[in-house]
Amino acid sequence: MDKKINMNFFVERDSALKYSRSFIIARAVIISLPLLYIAYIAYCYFSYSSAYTKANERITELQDRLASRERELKNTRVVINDFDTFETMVKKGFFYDGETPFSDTLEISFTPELKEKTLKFEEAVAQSLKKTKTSERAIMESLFKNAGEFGGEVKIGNIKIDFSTKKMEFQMNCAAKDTYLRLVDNLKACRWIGQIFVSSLKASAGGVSAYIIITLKEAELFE
Amino acid sequence: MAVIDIGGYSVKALKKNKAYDFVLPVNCVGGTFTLPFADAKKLSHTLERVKKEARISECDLVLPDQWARQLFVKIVNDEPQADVNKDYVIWRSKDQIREEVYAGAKIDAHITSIETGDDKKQHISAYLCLVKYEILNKITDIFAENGIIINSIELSSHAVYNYLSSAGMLVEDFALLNIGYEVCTVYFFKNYQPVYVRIIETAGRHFENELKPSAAKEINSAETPEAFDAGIKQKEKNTMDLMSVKLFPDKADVSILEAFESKKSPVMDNFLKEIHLTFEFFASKFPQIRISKAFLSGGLCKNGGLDFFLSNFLSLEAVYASDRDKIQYLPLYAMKERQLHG
Repeated sequence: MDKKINMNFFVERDSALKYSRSFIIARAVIISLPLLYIAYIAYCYFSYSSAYTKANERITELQDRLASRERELKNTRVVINDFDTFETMVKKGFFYDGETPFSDTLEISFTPELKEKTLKFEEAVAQSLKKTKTSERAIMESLFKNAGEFGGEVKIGNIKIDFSTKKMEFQMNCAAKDTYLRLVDNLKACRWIGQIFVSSLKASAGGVSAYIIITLKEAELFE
Repeated sequence: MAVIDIGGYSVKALKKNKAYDFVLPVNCVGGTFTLPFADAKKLSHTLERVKKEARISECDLVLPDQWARQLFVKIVNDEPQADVNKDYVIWRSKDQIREEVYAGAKIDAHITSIETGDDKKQHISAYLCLVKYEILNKITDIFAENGIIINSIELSSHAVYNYLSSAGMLVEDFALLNIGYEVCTVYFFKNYQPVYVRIIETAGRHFENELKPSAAKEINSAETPEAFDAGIKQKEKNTMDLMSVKLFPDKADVSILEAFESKKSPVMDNFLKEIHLTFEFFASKFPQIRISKAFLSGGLCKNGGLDFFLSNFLSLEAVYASDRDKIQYLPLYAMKERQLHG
């Protein structure tokens, strides 16, 4: 027979229930609920933070790629057909921002009629650009710039410009004959001057006095 | 898991191989199977310390032997039963126990033998213990109120027997004397199985009272924690005084033996008389059994000399169940081993 005596007089009591293992576990769980909640919040925060960082990185990457595409696009010729609407052009990814000249980035495949019109338009644009360079102000500035190179030796007055007859007249007094001749040579080099006429010329010990009439080159003129 | 042993003198606890001894207030635990008592307030006072100092929240519990009624039954079956278990034995045993004894008591059984006799009948011998629900419920409630959950409840002498068995110290026929503070339990074993038990109601407390008869009167009877602590201190002092006195001669010295003989001690006389009567009764009831060895356990063994004296007094080999310095903790170690080995 068994050489151990094992008896058990254990009794179930309600009083012991509240200290039973299940009760202790339940109590521990209840006590730890706030901790679990805090842990859950911390977990969510770190997850969100991680996702947020990843999203930010992704956005930065996309922005970099977009910037790269934009740079690439600016150096790409965009083909626009004559039936393209503005919306279609935009869809083609045309993001002209002024850094690169329009004509450098645009190649237009037009019908012959439209191409001709476009050429005329480009010519008109070119003409208008020239006009801006040959205004009355530009002529005057050019004249006085030539005169100013001789310091106070040259005096110009009674200037008259008539664009309808394409003529210009003025009175010029120079301190020396040499100065007068060099100024006339200089004026001949200006691209807006056709011919130079001297209508009156007086030379004395005090200098040279001349009345000059200039014909203007029509092609170089602004109205 | 921890083990707690409620004794008449103190509550002993073992947790993580560290043993604790919490002396109980005066008149805290006592009585017998018929009238067991445990003072809830005083026991709670001690359990508060157990909880605080030993930090025990769950335990296996060991109860004093005197709270149990030990019975031996024989069951005869005309037709042998294949499955003889505890429940069957308890059920069959109720025929042999008076209802007023088993009513209101929890019963557990240990089958000592199952034999088929020459008559072809099945003979079952069993050792039964009964403990009143009244005291079991009360103790469980007091422990629960102090935040200690009880997982199992065993008796002190069973634990000591199991300790001896695990240590390989058992002999075929032997006696076990568990001499505590309130009672002395004498178990007789035949072929390693219990056959007879007697509880002698003379033990350490009676020697202590005889040594200091005024001690009981000195103790404050107020029901306050301070009064309990004062009582505990007084009790500890009385015990130390008792331990400093040589109750039993520890060697064969003529002068010591003469002094022992001449000393008039009614408690000693009663103690020795009861032990003698117990062994005499056993010898008359079981003449075929010759007890050659007795194991001694319990707190009074710490006094010393008991092994030498009882060896001569009973003409057998009386030995301590373990080293004297840890003898009061034997039930704890036994229960711990049961936990470890299932």
